[in-house]
Amino acid sequence: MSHGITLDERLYRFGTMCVRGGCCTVGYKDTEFEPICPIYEKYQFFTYSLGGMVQIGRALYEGRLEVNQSVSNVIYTCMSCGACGEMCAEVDFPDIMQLQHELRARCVEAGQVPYEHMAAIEGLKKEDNMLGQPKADRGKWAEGLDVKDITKESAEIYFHAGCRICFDEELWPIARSAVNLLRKAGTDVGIAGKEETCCGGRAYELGYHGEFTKYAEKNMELLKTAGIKTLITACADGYYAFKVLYDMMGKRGDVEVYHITEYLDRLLRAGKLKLTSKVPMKVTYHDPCHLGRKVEHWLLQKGEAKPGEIYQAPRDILRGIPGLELIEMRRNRGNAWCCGAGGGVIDAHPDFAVWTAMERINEAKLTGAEAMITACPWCKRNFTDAMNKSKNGLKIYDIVELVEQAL
Amino acid sequence: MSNVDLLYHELLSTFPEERVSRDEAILTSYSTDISSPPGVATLPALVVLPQTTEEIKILLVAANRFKVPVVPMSRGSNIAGLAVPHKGEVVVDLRRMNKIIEINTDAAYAVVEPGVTHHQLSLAARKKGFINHLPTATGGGSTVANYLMRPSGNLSAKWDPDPIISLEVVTPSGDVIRTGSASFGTAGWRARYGPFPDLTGLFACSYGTLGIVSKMSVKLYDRGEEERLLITKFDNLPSALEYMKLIVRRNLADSVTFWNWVWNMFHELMASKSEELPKEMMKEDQKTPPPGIPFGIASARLSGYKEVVDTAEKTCIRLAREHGGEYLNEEEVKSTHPGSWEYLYSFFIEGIHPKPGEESTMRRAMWLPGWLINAEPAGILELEKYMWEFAKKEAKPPYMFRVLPFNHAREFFFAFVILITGTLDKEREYMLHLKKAYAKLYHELLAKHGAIMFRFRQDPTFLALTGPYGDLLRKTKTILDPNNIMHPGVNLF
Repeated sequence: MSHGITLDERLYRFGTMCVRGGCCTVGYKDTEFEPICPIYEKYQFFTYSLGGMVQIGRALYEGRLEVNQSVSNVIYTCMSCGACGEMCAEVDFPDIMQLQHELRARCVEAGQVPYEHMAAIEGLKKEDNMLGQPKADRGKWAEGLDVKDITKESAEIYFHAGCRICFDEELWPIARSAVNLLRKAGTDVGIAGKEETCCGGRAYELGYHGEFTKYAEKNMELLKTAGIKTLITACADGYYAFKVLYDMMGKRGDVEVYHITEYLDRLLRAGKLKLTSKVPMKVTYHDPCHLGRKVEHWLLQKGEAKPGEIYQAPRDILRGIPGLELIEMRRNRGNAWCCGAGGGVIDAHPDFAVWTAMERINEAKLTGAEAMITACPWCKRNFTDAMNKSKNGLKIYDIVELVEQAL
Repeated sequence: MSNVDLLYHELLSTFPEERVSRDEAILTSYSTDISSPPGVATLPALVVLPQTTEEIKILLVAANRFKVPVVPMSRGSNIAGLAVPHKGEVVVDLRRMNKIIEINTDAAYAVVEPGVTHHQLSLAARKKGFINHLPTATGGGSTVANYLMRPSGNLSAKWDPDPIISLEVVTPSGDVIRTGSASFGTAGWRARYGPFPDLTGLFACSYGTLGIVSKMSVKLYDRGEEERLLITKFDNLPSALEYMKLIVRRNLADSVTFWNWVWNMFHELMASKSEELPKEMMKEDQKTPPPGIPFGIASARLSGYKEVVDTAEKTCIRLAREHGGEYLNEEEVKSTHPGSWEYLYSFFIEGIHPKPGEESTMRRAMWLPGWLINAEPAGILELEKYMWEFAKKEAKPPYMFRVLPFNHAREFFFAFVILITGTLDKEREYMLHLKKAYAKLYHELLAKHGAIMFRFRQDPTFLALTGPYGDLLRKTKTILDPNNIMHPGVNLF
């Protein structure tokens, strides 16, 4: 039955089947049932959980509730981190966040979107990036690198830096290190400089599916023109977009997509890179949601990965760095606590984003690590902002920065 | 201003705004559960999140003064509409009262708040060398709420099927009553019975209609030096029942549960993650298993000193054989029934429910609220037959009705869970029809089989069958809740 919003019937049925056990808010026995859902921990009502959201989705579908400010407030506090999907066995949709994405799309249709997101999308439309920065500045991160420009010359591999890195100077070292490492391994890599555009992934997560499609097509056209068959990115969000969302929408074609950690792991195994310098440090690793559970479900369904494989490459790389000691946080891999930057929360609810990051930083400190390593510029940005506010003393690195140190 | 408005403003003088809500989306998320037919829901007037007994007291006193009804909700995982509003009540969501206050290993009990989950308590107890009653429900469910509704009593059936010791209850008048040994204040939470009549039992199965339970002490049981899962297969239910009676009553097993073949196939489905229900599971004759699949298996938990467990295991195997059953060793079960082994080992030995969702729901199908029925062992076969007939009668295309019975040995609970498959468009009418059919079942099962259904389903005529017992309960209700603000939608009184 439906008298309300359009919603995939399977998603509606999910709402009618939920037993409201609240298990979507905690990890399983390996985490000793610790909390894994930031919104539930912060906002406390059952509403702020996958279980609560499906009841809202159900009411919207049945026409008992309209898409209004109240609904939008709840839907857009979620970081779309996908931790709930790890625990709820019912979530086996093509994408574990499909319900959230659908509901957000309905919010967009109804004009019920946080102001900050509207501004970000306006910036995207005008400047081709989610940060509203001048598109002419997009390639600045690569100045002096003397790397190939795929819009002018041919290259085997395209390195996509992503909006976050391109317009955040503190994060430029991630992309620069990544390109350096790829070249040192003898890879024929190129970038698109100021012609690079947003992957569209964040727009999709905010509910702007039309914008996502536009940018997916734009990116694939760029790759087609340049004859690129392999794409590598150091941005976990971008990786999720290219690897999962493009594929789900039938836009990926035959392009192979790698996160930089996956590719570096290959290069290290093939002996094309050797880690010889000591990096004497105790570290812990934070699994980005977009380089973990949000990708793994899709890859498993497609038969493109084995369970747990997605989490292994960064760990293998870190364990291969001489002198470096890796200590796991209890909530790791599929049970990792989100950094707080996901789902547009960093824009619409920055205080909540920082609160979420601090929870993770405190967890990292408990391991006795001096540094927390991640593999996503959005995570690094949010952790760094939280660190700056707290003066906690933990160092935050992207994994490629350590690999470069270890060469 | 309406009474709800007055209550809302009064509560804001005690509760921070972020714990009292009248936001439409928040209210909506509390309006439905799995038992709500499509399109049928009532919004709560407010949702309140108390964190202490004192806050519950302030809330109930104010609600009583303004005569605004309330629905207590511990974790909300009830599947029979007992934790959703029916008449625009205030939902008192207790999930943030989630502390394990004490684990007393000396006297073997734990004191918990209503927001504590089975998983939380189970983990904490096991770390101290104990187990607690664990129902075949979701691990995220509230221990307090589940125990108050009569748990299915797995893991520890040989000791005592009732795990509750003492309670702390807040009444609408603002009294905070402690029962059992806790009533004396200085005597602790260790004992259910003292020199006076037992009031703990008064609140069990009261479904929040007499007050809100804010603390409960529960029994814990020693894990033993060795814990073992023993699986035996049987070709028929009577043989299995005889075996089950013997091994529990003669203290060989902590507990034993019999799962018919449909359940076992369901367990396999969980492990395989297949989206399709096996064809065999959907066939018309539900009583005959497909070739090569046993009619059912009995899963027993054995624990104690290793030598004792070795002996108990040997004896159980002998008894199974004597009653036509067959022992399946671990490797055999793992290879032939991997899903069952995963489920049963996690549940009976680790004391942890399989990954959430898997034990409660199924893809491409939908659970309807089940029953827990207590009957004479001799009557169980007739009861089972009756339920098969019921299912057959109610199975109207496009729906398939599956009856999934499983038995617990201690009180001879017989659990039926019904699964329907089909399209969505007519579910509303069908579910409403089934609710009426359920209501009739209470009376028919009692009249024809002397069987008592647990998990009350909002039928006020059922209490009337108890005569003076019901009269006394009604009088008690009037004393404790004169304005009938406590969960009136349950229709117990």
